[in-house]
Amino acid sequence: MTAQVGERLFYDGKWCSMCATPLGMYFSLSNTYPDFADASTACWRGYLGSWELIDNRLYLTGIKAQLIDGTSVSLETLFPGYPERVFAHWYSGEIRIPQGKLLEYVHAGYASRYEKDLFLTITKGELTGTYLKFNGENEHQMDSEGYQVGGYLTFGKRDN
Amino acid sequence: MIFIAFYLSTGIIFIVLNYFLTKVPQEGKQESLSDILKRHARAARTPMQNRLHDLILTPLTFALGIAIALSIWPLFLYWIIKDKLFPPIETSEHTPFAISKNDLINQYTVEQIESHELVSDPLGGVPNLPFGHLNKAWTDFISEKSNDDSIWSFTTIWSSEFGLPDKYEGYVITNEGRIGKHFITGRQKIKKDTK
Repeated sequence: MTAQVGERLFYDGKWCSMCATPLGMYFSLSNTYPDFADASTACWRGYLGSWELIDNRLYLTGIKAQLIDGTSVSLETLFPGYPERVFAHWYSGEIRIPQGKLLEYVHAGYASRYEKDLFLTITKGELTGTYLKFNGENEHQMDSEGYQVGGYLTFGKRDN
Repeated sequence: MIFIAFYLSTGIIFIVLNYFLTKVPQEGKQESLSDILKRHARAARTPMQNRLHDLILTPLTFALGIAIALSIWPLFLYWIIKDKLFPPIETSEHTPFAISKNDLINQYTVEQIESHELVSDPLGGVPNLPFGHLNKAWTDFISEKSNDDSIWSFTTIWSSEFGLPDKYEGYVITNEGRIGKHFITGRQKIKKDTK
């Protein structure tokens, strides 16, 4: 499977990529699976969510996706009555935020390795712990930092 | 020559038909997820790489794709027809998710559970209902409960067909020892030191 783009998380004053899909767990627990249109081989889940940690609580604050009938998806679509933010109370687990330079690119899922991984422990939507794991050092000065995805195919929408 | 012309022209018709039958219609001019991903990919490349991508790689990939499709379009037609007439039958020896009596923890009433599982949020990001955004799934679950049934909390460990074992928690309906419908409220990956 192609390396997957991460969800976006606003944490510690900046946006970063997170290698976790809390919204997928919501769909599983609620037994609702929207018919998202395929967008890209780097995004098989069919959506790109934006999240924020506010007062140590995890919120879904945006989503980019289309259904297979072409309808654009918003927070209101998935959570009627909650157009601005949704508290992710259903989610417990670890959110991995790759940091630093790339050590090893793996063209599959979230398997690529980076210099550091910041783990956020979430319990029923609340941040209950953090820890940083060092994986090594990339000695190439010119390499960029942050989570990346290599080549992928996108499936564009077409005009009628 | 006539055969080749017929073969290629039929292939072109097949490719064009397939394209229009599977395309996603556009609604409005809102930026799509594909557009966002393409924009991110372009931003990650240098200007020279983007020029090479636009002038050489994209047309080449498109031309190669068309050439391959025109060459072997009967194979694609065969697969489409085969899947329609003979859909694949899933055979798996994987153990389906199930709860055993050993997984049961405590018995509760519906009122006790709903009181315990109320969710609140200072920013108003969740309905003040039992199980919050999962309230509908909960009401669907308890609609299956009859007066003779009991509800137990449970925790169990199970591996999906493709993943590592996860810990599942929730509630299950029981009747005279028989395990009925369940409602999963949480799933967590198992850490080695907590198993």
